[in-house]
Amino acid sequence: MIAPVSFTSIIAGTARAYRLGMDGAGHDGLQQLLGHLHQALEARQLDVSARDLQDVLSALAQAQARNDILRLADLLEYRLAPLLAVPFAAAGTVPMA
Amino acid sequence: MAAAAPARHHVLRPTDTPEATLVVDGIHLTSGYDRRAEAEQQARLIPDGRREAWIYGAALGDLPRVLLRRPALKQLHVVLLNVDLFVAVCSWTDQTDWLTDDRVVLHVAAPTDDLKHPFAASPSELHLVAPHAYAVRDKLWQTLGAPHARTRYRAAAARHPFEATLPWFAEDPDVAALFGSALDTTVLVAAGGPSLGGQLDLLQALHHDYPLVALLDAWPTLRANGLSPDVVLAVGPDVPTRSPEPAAPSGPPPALVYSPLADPHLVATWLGPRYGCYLAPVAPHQQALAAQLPRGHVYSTGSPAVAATDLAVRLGAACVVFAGLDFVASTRGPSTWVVDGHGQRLATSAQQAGYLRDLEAYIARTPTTGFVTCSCDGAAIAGTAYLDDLAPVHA
Repeated sequence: MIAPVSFTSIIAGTARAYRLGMDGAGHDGLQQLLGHLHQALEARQLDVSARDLQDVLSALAQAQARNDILRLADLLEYRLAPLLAVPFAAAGTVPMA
Repeated sequence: MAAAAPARHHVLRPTDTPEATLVVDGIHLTSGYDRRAEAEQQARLIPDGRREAWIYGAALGDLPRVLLRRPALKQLHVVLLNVDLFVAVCSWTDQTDWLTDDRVVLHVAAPTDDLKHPFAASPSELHLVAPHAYAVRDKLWQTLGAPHARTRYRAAAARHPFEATLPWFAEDPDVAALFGSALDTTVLVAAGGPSLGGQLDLLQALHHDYPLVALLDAWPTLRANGLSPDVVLAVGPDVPTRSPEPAAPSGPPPALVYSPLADPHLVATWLGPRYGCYLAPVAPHQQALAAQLPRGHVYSTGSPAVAATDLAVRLGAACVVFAGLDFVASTRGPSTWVVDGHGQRLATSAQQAGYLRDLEAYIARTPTTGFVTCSCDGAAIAGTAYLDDLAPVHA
Protein backbone atom coordinates (compact mmCIF):
# COMPACT_ATOMS: atom_id res chain seq x y z
CA MET A 1 0.00 0.00 0.00
CA ILE A 2 1.25 3.46 -0.84
CA ALA A 3 0.50 5.99 1.84
CA PRO A 4 1.50 9.63 2.00
CA VAL A 5 4.48 10.04 4.23
CA SER A 6 6.13 13.37 4.69
CA PHE A 7 9.87 13.23 5.01
CA THR A 8 9.55 16.76 6.28
CA SER A 9 7.36 15.79 9.20
CA ILE A 10 9.54 12.82 10.17
CA ILE A 11 12.65 14.97 9.99
CA ALA A 12 11.02 17.74 12.00
CA GLY A 13 9.79 15.31 14.67
CA THR A 14 13.15 13.57 14.89
CA ALA A 15 15.14 16.79 15.09
CA ARG A 16 12.74 18.16 17.71
CA ALA A 17 13.14 15.00 19.81
CA TYR A 18 16.93 15.32 19.71
CA ARG A 19 16.79 19.02 20.58
CA LEU A 20 14.64 18.29 23.64
CA GLY A 21 16.79 15.47 24.99
CA MET A 22 14.34 12.75 23.95
CA ASP A 23 17.07 10.59 22.52
CA GLY A 24 15.04 7.38 22.35
CA ALA A 25 12.36 9.04 20.26
CA GLY A 26 15.05 10.66 18.12
CA HIS A 27 16.82 7.36 17.64
CA ASP A 28 13.62 5.61 16.58
CA GLY A 29 12.66 8.52 14.32
CA LEU A 30 16.03 8.36 12.62
CA GLN A 31 15.69 4.62 12.02
CA GLN A 32 12.22 5.17 10.59
CA LEU A 33 13.50 7.96 8.36
CA LEU A 34 16.39 5.87 7.06
CA GLY A 35 14.00 3.03 6.37
CA HIS A 36 11.72 5.27 4.33
CA LEU A 37 14.69 6.74 2.51
CA HIS A 38 15.91 3.28 1.62
CA GLN A 39 12.49 2.34 0.26
CA ALA A 40 12.17 5.56 -1.70
CA LEU A 41 15.59 5.08 -3.23
CA GLU A 42 14.84 1.49 -4.18
CA ALA A 43 11.57 2.61 -5.75
CA ARG A 44 13.44 5.37 -7.58
CA GLN A 45 11.13 7.96 -6.10
CA LEU A 46 13.92 10.31 -5.13
CA ASP A 47 15.57 12.61 -7.62
CA VAL A 48 18.51 13.65 -5.53
CA SER A 49 22.25 13.78 -6.00
CA ALA A 50 23.66 10.50 -4.75
CA ARG A 51 26.84 12.24 -3.69
CA ASP A 52 25.00 14.90 -1.68
CA LEU A 53 22.84 12.30 -0.02
CA GLN A 54 25.84 10.14 0.74
CA ASP A 55 27.63 13.09 2.33
CA VAL A 56 24.71 13.81 4.64
CA LEU A 57 24.14 10.17 5.54
CA SER A 58 27.80 9.72 6.30
CA ALA A 59 27.80 12.81 8.52
CA LEU A 60 24.68 11.52 10.27
CA ALA A 61 26.34 8.19 10.97
CA GLN A 62 29.43 9.89 12.38
CA ALA A 63 27.37 12.20 14.59
CA GLN A 64 25.29 9.31 15.85
CA ALA A 65 28.40 7.28 16.65
CA ARG A 66 29.71 10.00 18.98
CA ASN A 67 26.29 10.86 20.49
CA ASP A 68 26.50 14.32 18.93
CA ILE A 69 22.75 14.73 19.01
CA LEU A 70 22.41 18.43 18.27
CA ARG A 71 24.66 17.96 15.25
CA LEU A 72 22.30 15.16 14.25
CA ALA A 73 19.37 17.56 14.60
CA ASP A 74 21.19 20.20 12.54
CA LEU A 75 22.09 17.73 9.80
CA LEU A 76 18.50 16.55 9.59
CA GLU A 77 16.92 19.98 9.65
CA TYR A 78 19.38 22.08 7.69
CA ARG A 79 21.10 19.59 5.36
CA LEU A 80 18.82 16.61 4.73
CA ALA A 81 15.45 18.38 4.72
CA PRO A 82 16.40 20.86 1.97
CA LEU A 83 17.91 18.02 -0.01
CA LEU A 84 14.69 16.04 0.09
CA ALA A 85 12.25 18.93 -0.15
CA VAL A 86 12.16 19.31 -3.95
CA PRO A 87 12.14 15.65 -4.97
CA PHE A 88 9.64 14.90 -2.26
CA ALA A 89 7.33 17.62 -3.50
CA ALA A 90 7.61 16.05 -6.95
CA ALA A 91 7.09 12.49 -5.81
CA GLY A 92 4.51 13.22 -3.14
CA THR A 93 4.55 9.81 -1.56
CA VAL A 94 6.90 7.12 -0.42
CA PRO A 95 5.88 3.53 0.21
CA MET A 96 5.01 2.58 3.74
CA ALA A 97 6.44 -0.53 5.34
CA MET B 1 31.50 2.20 48.44
CA ALA B 2 32.43 3.10 44.90
CA ALA B 3 35.38 5.42 44.44
CA ALA B 4 34.74 8.60 42.51
CA ALA B 5 35.37 8.28 38.79
CA PRO B 6 38.31 10.43 37.69
CA ALA B 7 37.63 13.90 36.32
CA ARG B 8 38.03 14.26 32.57
CA HIS B 9 39.69 17.07 30.68
CA HIS B 10 37.52 18.42 27.92
CA VAL B 11 38.67 19.33 24.44
CA LEU B 12 36.83 22.38 23.11
CA ARG B 13 36.83 23.89 19.64
CA PRO B 14 34.65 26.48 17.91
CA THR B 15 32.73 25.58 14.77
CA ASP B 16 32.60 27.23 11.36
CA THR B 17 28.88 26.57 11.07
CA PRO B 18 26.49 29.40 10.05
CA GLU B 19 26.13 30.26 13.73
CA ALA B 20 29.15 29.60 15.90
CA THR B 21 28.94 27.09 18.71
CA LEU B 22 31.42 25.03 20.70
CA VAL B 23 32.23 21.40 20.19
CA VAL B 24 33.22 19.62 23.40
CA ASP B 25 34.78 16.18 23.14
CA GLY B 26 33.20 15.83 19.71
CA ILE B 27 29.73 16.94 20.84
CA HIS B 28 28.11 20.20 19.67
CA LEU B 29 26.89 22.12 22.70
CA THR B 30 24.12 23.80 20.71
CA SER B 31 22.82 24.10 17.19
CA GLY B 32 25.31 25.48 14.73
CA TYR B 33 22.53 27.01 12.64
CA ASP B 34 19.97 28.71 14.88
CA ARG B 35 20.71 28.68 18.59
CA ARG B 36 17.85 31.00 19.51
CA ALA B 37 15.26 28.86 17.77
CA GLU B 38 16.65 25.78 19.46
CA ALA B 39 16.55 27.40 22.90
CA GLU B 40 13.00 28.63 22.32
CA GLN B 41 11.98 25.08 21.41
CA GLN B 42 13.52 23.79 24.64
CA ALA B 43 11.98 26.61 26.68
CA ARG B 44 8.50 25.56 25.56
CA LEU B 45 8.81 22.61 27.95
CA ILE B 46 8.30 25.18 30.70
CA PRO B 47 4.78 26.63 30.56
CA ASP B 48 4.41 30.39 30.24
CA GLY B 49 3.54 32.19 33.41
CA ARG B 50 5.56 30.00 35.77
CA ARG B 51 7.28 31.97 38.50
CA GLU B 52 9.99 29.36 39.06
CA ALA B 53 11.74 27.02 36.63
CA TRP B 54 14.70 24.66 36.45
CA ILE B 55 17.32 24.17 33.76
CA TYR B 56 19.65 21.18 33.72
CA GLY B 57 22.89 22.10 31.96
CA ALA B 58 23.67 25.67 30.95
CA ALA B 59 25.36 24.90 27.60
CA LEU B 60 26.14 28.30 26.02
CA GLY B 61 23.50 30.17 28.00
CA ASP B 62 20.90 30.37 25.23
CA LEU B 63 18.17 28.63 27.22
CA PRO B 64 18.55 30.77 30.36
CA ARG B 65 18.58 33.89 28.18
CA VAL B 66 15.32 32.91 26.51
CA LEU B 67 13.61 32.06 29.80
CA LEU B 68 14.81 35.23 31.55
CA ARG B 69 12.90 37.27 28.97
CA ARG B 70 9.70 36.09 30.63
CA PRO B 71 8.49 38.80 33.01
CA ALA B 72 6.56 36.29 35.12
CA LEU B 73 9.68 34.27 35.92
CA LYS B 74 10.93 35.20 39.36
CA GLN B 75 13.53 32.49 39.92
CA LEU B 76 15.53 30.40 37.48
CA HIS B 77 17.48 27.51 38.94
CA VAL B 78 20.35 26.37 36.73
CA VAL B 79 21.71 22.95 37.69
CA LEU B 80 25.25 22.33 36.49
CA LEU B 81 25.79 18.79 35.29
CA ASN B 82 29.51 19.23 34.80
CA VAL B 83 31.29 22.01 36.66
CA ASP B 84 34.56 21.58 34.73
CA LEU B 85 32.67 21.99 31.49
CA PHE B 86 30.85 25.07 32.77
CA VAL B 87 34.16 26.68 33.78
CA ALA B 88 35.65 25.85 30.39
CA VAL B 89 32.66 27.35 28.57
CA CYS B 90 32.89 30.50 30.70
CA SER B 91 36.54 30.84 29.76
CA TRP B 92 35.68 30.62 26.05
CA THR B 93 32.51 32.69 26.00
CA ASP B 94 30.94 35.57 27.92
CA GLN B 95 28.12 34.30 30.10
CA THR B 96 27.92 37.25 32.49
CA ASP B 97 24.70 38.69 31.03
CA TRP B 98 22.50 35.93 32.42
CA LEU B 99 24.75 34.90 35.31
CA THR B 100 24.40 38.37 36.84
CA ASP B 101 20.61 38.31 36.67
CA ASP B 102 19.29 38.32 40.26
CA ARG B 103 16.73 35.67 39.42
CA VAL B 104 19.37 33.05 38.60
CA VAL B 105 20.39 30.50 41.22
CA LEU B 106 23.20 28.07 40.37
CA HIS B 107 23.27 24.52 41.71
CA VAL B 108 25.60 21.57 41.21
CA ALA B 109 23.88 18.26 40.51
CA ALA B 110 24.26 15.68 43.26
CA PRO B 111 23.76 11.91 42.92
CA THR B 112 20.73 11.89 45.21
CA ASP B 113 18.94 14.86 43.64
CA ASP B 114 15.31 14.44 42.66
CA LEU B 115 14.21 16.28 39.55
CA LYS B 116 12.52 19.63 40.03
CA HIS B 117 9.66 20.72 37.82
CA PRO B 118 9.01 22.39 35.50
CA PHE B 119 12.33 21.90 33.77
CA ALA B 120 14.13 21.93 30.47
CA ALA B 121 17.51 20.41 29.77
CA SER B 122 20.48 20.96 27.54
CA PRO B 123 20.47 17.70 25.58
CA SER B 124 24.13 17.87 24.61
CA GLU B 125 25.15 18.15 28.24
CA LEU B 126 23.31 14.94 29.04
CA HIS B 127 26.12 13.28 27.08
CA LEU B 128 28.82 15.32 28.79
CA VAL B 129 27.81 14.96 32.42
CA ALA B 130 30.34 14.37 35.17
CA PRO B 131 29.95 11.08 37.08
CA HIS B 132 28.32 12.85 40.04
CA ALA B 133 25.43 13.75 37.76
CA TYR B 134 24.90 10.36 36.08
CA ALA B 135 21.87 9.60 38.25
CA VAL B 136 20.31 13.00 37.55
CA ARG B 137 20.95 12.53 33.83
CA ASP B 138 19.24 9.16 33.85
CA LYS B 139 16.22 10.62 35.65
CA LEU B 140 16.09 13.40 33.05
CA TRP B 141 16.20 10.90 30.22
CA GLN B 142 13.51 8.81 31.88
CA THR B 143 11.23 11.79 32.35
CA LEU B 144 11.83 13.30 28.94
CA GLY B 145 11.54 9.91 27.29
CA ALA B 146 8.46 8.74 29.21
CA PRO B 147 5.88 9.52 26.49
CA HIS B 148 7.93 7.67 23.90
CA ALA B 149 8.54 4.75 26.27
CA ARG B 150 4.78 4.45 26.81
CA THR B 151 4.25 4.42 23.04
CA ARG B 152 6.86 1.70 22.65
CA TYR B 153 5.33 -0.32 25.47
CA ARG B 154 1.88 -0.16 23.92
CA ALA B 155 3.32 -1.20 20.56
CA ALA B 156 5.18 -4.10 22.15
CA ALA B 157 2.06 -5.13 24.07
CA ALA B 158 0.06 -5.06 20.84
CA ARG B 159 2.59 -7.41 19.24
CA HIS B 160 2.20 -9.79 22.20
CA PRO B 161 -1.53 -9.83 22.88
CA PHE B 162 -2.15 -11.17 26.34
CA GLU B 163 -5.12 -13.22 25.14
CA ALA B 164 -2.60 -15.84 23.99
CA THR B 165 -1.68 -16.74 27.59
CA LEU B 166 -5.25 -16.65 28.92
CA PRO B 167 -5.98 -20.39 28.71
CA TRP B 168 -3.21 -20.99 31.27
CA PHE B 169 -3.49 -17.73 33.16
CA ALA B 170 -7.15 -18.38 33.94
CA GLU B 171 -6.37 -21.81 35.39
CA ASP B 172 -3.02 -21.28 37.11
CA PRO B 173 -2.86 -20.29 40.79
CA ASP B 174 -2.28 -16.79 42.03
CA VAL B 175 1.30 -15.64 42.71
CA ALA B 176 -0.04 -14.38 46.03
CA ALA B 177 0.15 -18.02 47.19
CA LEU B 178 3.94 -17.57 47.21
CA PHE B 179 3.96 -14.27 49.05
CA GLY B 180 5.44 -14.70 52.52
CA SER B 181 6.90 -18.12 51.70
CA ALA B 182 10.47 -16.95 52.42
CA LEU B 183 9.67 -14.81 55.41
CA ASP B 184 12.62 -13.02 57.05
CA THR B 185 15.26 -14.89 55.11
CA THR B 186 17.70 -13.98 52.35
CA VAL B 187 16.44 -14.31 48.78
CA LEU B 188 18.85 -14.51 45.86
CA VAL B 189 17.98 -12.72 42.62
CA ALA B 190 19.89 -13.71 39.49
CA ALA B 191 19.92 -11.72 36.26
CA GLY B 192 21.69 -12.58 33.03
CA GLY B 193 24.39 -9.91 33.06
CA PRO B 194 28.00 -10.65 32.08
CA SER B 195 29.13 -11.01 35.70
CA LEU B 196 26.75 -13.91 36.34
CA GLY B 197 29.25 -16.40 34.94
CA GLY B 198 31.80 -15.47 37.60
CA GLN B 199 29.29 -15.79 40.42
CA LEU B 200 27.90 -19.24 39.75
CA ASP B 201 29.96 -21.05 42.40
CA LEU B 202 29.01 -18.45 44.99
CA LEU B 203 25.40 -18.61 43.92
CA GLN B 204 25.48 -22.40 44.14
CA ALA B 205 26.83 -22.22 47.69
CA LEU B 206 24.29 -19.61 48.79
CA HIS B 207 21.46 -21.49 47.12
CA HIS B 208 21.94 -24.38 49.55
CA ASP B 209 20.47 -22.12 52.20
CA TYR B 210 18.47 -19.49 50.39
CA PRO B 211 15.80 -19.46 47.70
CA LEU B 212 16.75 -18.24 44.25
CA VAL B 213 14.59 -16.09 41.97
CA ALA B 214 15.88 -15.92 38.39
CA LEU B 215 15.01 -13.50 35.67
CA LEU B 216 14.28 -15.27 32.42
CA ASP B 217 17.52 -14.05 30.86
CA ALA B 218 19.54 -15.77 33.62
CA TRP B 219 17.75 -19.09 33.33
CA PRO B 220 19.77 -20.57 30.41
CA THR B 221 23.10 -19.84 32.15
CA LEU B 222 21.88 -21.20 35.48
CA ARG B 223 20.46 -24.29 33.89
CA ALA B 224 23.62 -24.96 31.87
CA ASN B 225 25.60 -24.85 35.10
CA GLY B 226 23.40 -27.14 37.12
CA LEU B 227 21.62 -24.45 39.10
CA SER B 228 17.90 -24.83 39.50
CA PRO B 229 16.15 -21.67 40.71
CA ASP B 230 13.08 -21.87 42.87
CA VAL B 231 11.28 -19.33 40.74
CA VAL B 232 11.77 -18.04 37.20
CA LEU B 233 10.11 -14.73 36.45
CA ALA B 234 8.75 -13.92 32.97
CA VAL B 235 7.15 -10.53 33.08
CA GLY B 236 6.43 -9.14 29.68
CA PRO B 237 7.07 -8.53 26.03
CA ASP B 238 10.49 -6.99 26.61
CA VAL B 239 12.03 -10.17 28.01
CA PRO B 240 14.35 -12.10 25.70
CA THR B 241 12.39 -14.17 23.23
CA ARG B 242 14.66 -17.20 23.51
CA SER B 243 12.83 -19.73 25.62
CA PRO B 244 15.10 -22.11 27.52
CA GLU B 245 14.21 -25.75 27.71
CA PRO B 246 11.94 -26.07 30.69
CA ALA B 247 13.58 -29.07 32.34
CA ALA B 248 16.08 -28.28 35.08
CA PRO B 249 19.22 -30.44 35.31
CA SER B 250 18.53 -31.60 38.85
CA GLY B 251 15.91 -31.19 41.50
CA PRO B 252 12.31 -30.26 40.91
CA PRO B 253 11.57 -27.93 38.01
CA PRO B 254 11.34 -24.30 39.09
CA ALA B 255 8.09 -22.46 39.39
CA LEU B 256 7.25 -19.94 36.71
CA VAL B 257 5.79 -16.63 37.80
CA TYR B 258 4.40 -14.91 34.73
CA SER B 259 2.29 -11.98 33.68
CA PRO B 260 -0.32 -12.21 30.92
CA LEU B 261 2.20 -10.63 28.53
CA ALA B 262 4.69 -13.49 28.88
CA ASP B 263 5.60 -15.66 25.92
CA PRO B 264 2.68 -18.13 25.55
CA HIS B 265 4.99 -20.85 24.26
CA LEU B 266 7.11 -20.58 27.38
CA VAL B 267 4.02 -20.78 29.57
CA ALA B 268 2.51 -23.68 27.68
CA THR B 269 5.67 -25.80 27.79
CA TRP B 270 6.72 -25.05 31.36
CA LEU B 271 7.08 -28.29 33.31
CA GLY B 272 7.05 -26.84 36.80
CA PRO B 273 4.23 -25.13 38.64
CA ARG B 274 3.01 -21.83 37.26
CA TYR B 275 1.68 -18.77 39.05
CA GLY B 276 -0.02 -15.81 37.43
CA CYS B 277 0.63 -12.21 38.39
CA TYR B 278 0.01 -8.70 37.14
CA LEU B 279 2.64 -6.05 36.91
CA ALA B 280 1.67 -3.07 39.01
CA PRO B 281 0.56 -0.51 38.20
CA VAL B 282 -1.72 -2.56 35.98
CA ALA B 283 -1.68 -1.30 32.39
CA PRO B 284 -4.99 0.22 31.23
CA HIS B 285 -5.52 -2.48 28.60
CA GLN B 286 -5.25 -5.17 31.31
CA GLN B 287 -7.52 -3.62 33.91
CA ALA B 288 -10.68 -5.35 32.73
CA LEU B 289 -8.86 -8.67 32.82
CA ALA B 290 -7.50 -7.91 36.29
CA ALA B 291 -11.05 -7.32 37.52
CA GLN B 292 -12.23 -10.56 35.96
CA LEU B 293 -9.22 -12.70 36.97
CA PRO B 294 -7.68 -11.07 40.02
CA ARG B 295 -4.07 -12.07 40.78
CA GLY B 296 -1.33 -10.76 43.01
CA HIS B 297 0.67 -7.79 41.84
CA VAL B 298 4.40 -7.48 41.33
CA TYR B 299 5.60 -3.91 41.08
CA SER B 300 7.46 -2.94 37.95
CA THR B 301 8.38 0.26 36.22
CA GLY B 302 8.96 -1.69 33.03
CA SER B 303 12.24 -2.95 34.43
CA PRO B 304 12.47 -6.74 34.88
CA ALA B 305 15.06 -6.17 37.62
CA VAL B 306 12.59 -4.17 39.68
CA ALA B 307 9.91 -6.83 39.18
CA ALA B 308 12.26 -9.61 40.35
CA THR B 309 13.35 -7.56 43.34
CA ASP B 310 9.77 -6.78 44.31
CA LEU B 311 8.87 -10.46 44.00
CA ALA B 312 11.73 -11.32 46.37
CA VAL B 313 10.48 -8.71 48.83
CA ARG B 314 6.92 -10.03 48.58
CA LEU B 315 8.23 -13.55 49.22
CA GLY B 316 9.27 -12.08 52.56
CA ALA B 317 12.97 -11.38 52.08
CA ALA B 318 14.76 -9.57 54.86
CA CYS B 319 17.74 -9.35 52.52
CA VAL B 320 17.96 -9.56 48.73
CA VAL B 321 21.27 -10.62 47.16
CA PHE B 322 21.78 -9.69 43.50
CA ALA B 323 23.92 -11.74 41.12
CA GLY B 324 24.49 -10.87 37.47
CA LEU B 325 22.47 -7.67 37.80
CA ASP B 326 24.91 -5.52 35.84
CA PHE B 327 22.74 -3.10 33.83
CA VAL B 328 24.89 -3.49 30.75
CA ALA B 329 24.72 -5.38 27.47
CA SER B 330 21.59 -3.82 26.11
CA THR B 331 21.92 -3.44 22.37
CA ARG B 332 19.07 -1.00 21.79
CA GLY B 333 19.05 2.75 22.02
CA PRO B 334 21.64 5.45 22.54
CA SER B 335 24.78 4.54 24.46
CA THR B 336 25.78 6.17 27.69
CA TRP B 337 27.81 5.64 30.86
CA VAL B 338 27.20 4.61 34.42
CA VAL B 339 29.74 4.00 37.18
CA ASP B 340 30.68 0.42 38.08
CA GLY B 341 31.54 -0.94 41.51
CA HIS B 342 35.21 -0.13 40.97
CA GLY B 343 34.40 3.53 40.37
CA GLN B 344 35.13 3.29 36.66
CA ARG B 345 32.90 4.36 33.78
CA LEU B 346 30.83 1.50 32.40
CA ALA B 347 29.24 1.64 28.95
CA THR B 348 25.55 0.83 28.80
CA SER B 349 22.36 1.97 27.13
CA ALA B 350 20.03 4.74 28.22
CA GLN B 351 17.36 2.09 28.81
CA GLN B 352 19.57 0.05 31.13
CA ALA B 353 20.66 3.20 32.96
CA GLY B 354 16.99 4.01 33.44
CA TYR B 355 16.35 0.52 34.81
CA LEU B 356 19.23 1.05 37.23
CA ARG B 357 17.67 4.28 38.52
CA ASP B 358 14.29 2.57 38.83
CA LEU B 359 15.85 -0.09 41.04
CA GLU B 360 17.68 2.49 43.13
CA ALA B 361 14.41 4.35 43.67
CA TYR B 362 12.71 1.09 44.65
CA ILE B 363 15.50 0.28 47.13
CA ALA B 364 15.23 3.76 48.65
CA ARG B 365 11.51 3.18 49.16
CA THR B 366 12.09 -0.21 50.84
CA PRO B 367 14.16 0.58 53.93
CA THR B 368 13.14 -2.52 55.90
CA THR B 369 14.90 -4.84 53.44
CA GLY B 370 18.67 -5.11 52.99
CA PHE B 371 20.13 -5.24 49.48
CA VAL B 372 23.46 -6.79 48.59
CA THR B 373 25.37 -7.02 45.30
CA CYS B 374 27.76 -9.88 44.51
CA SER B 375 30.01 -8.23 41.94
CA CYS B 376 31.75 -4.88 41.50
CA ASP B 377 31.96 -5.47 37.76
CA GLY B 378 28.42 -4.34 37.04
CA ALA B 379 26.85 -0.94 37.60
CA ALA B 380 27.10 0.36 41.15
CA ILE B 381 23.59 0.24 42.63
CA ALA B 382 22.92 2.95 45.22
CA GLY B 383 21.51 1.52 48.43
CA THR B 384 23.27 -1.85 48.14
CA ALA B 385 26.26 -3.22 50.00
CA TYR B 386 28.84 -5.51 48.44
CA LEU B 387 28.82 -9.13 49.49
CA ASP B 388 32.54 -9.11 50.24
CA ASP B 389 31.83 -6.59 52.98
CA LEU B 390 29.08 -8.71 54.52
CA ALA B 391 30.56 -12.00 55.72
CA PRO B 392 27.47 -12.85 57.84
CA VAL B 393 25.48 -13.38 54.66
CA HIS B 394 27.61 -16.48 54.02
CA ALA B 395 26.90 -17.86 57.47
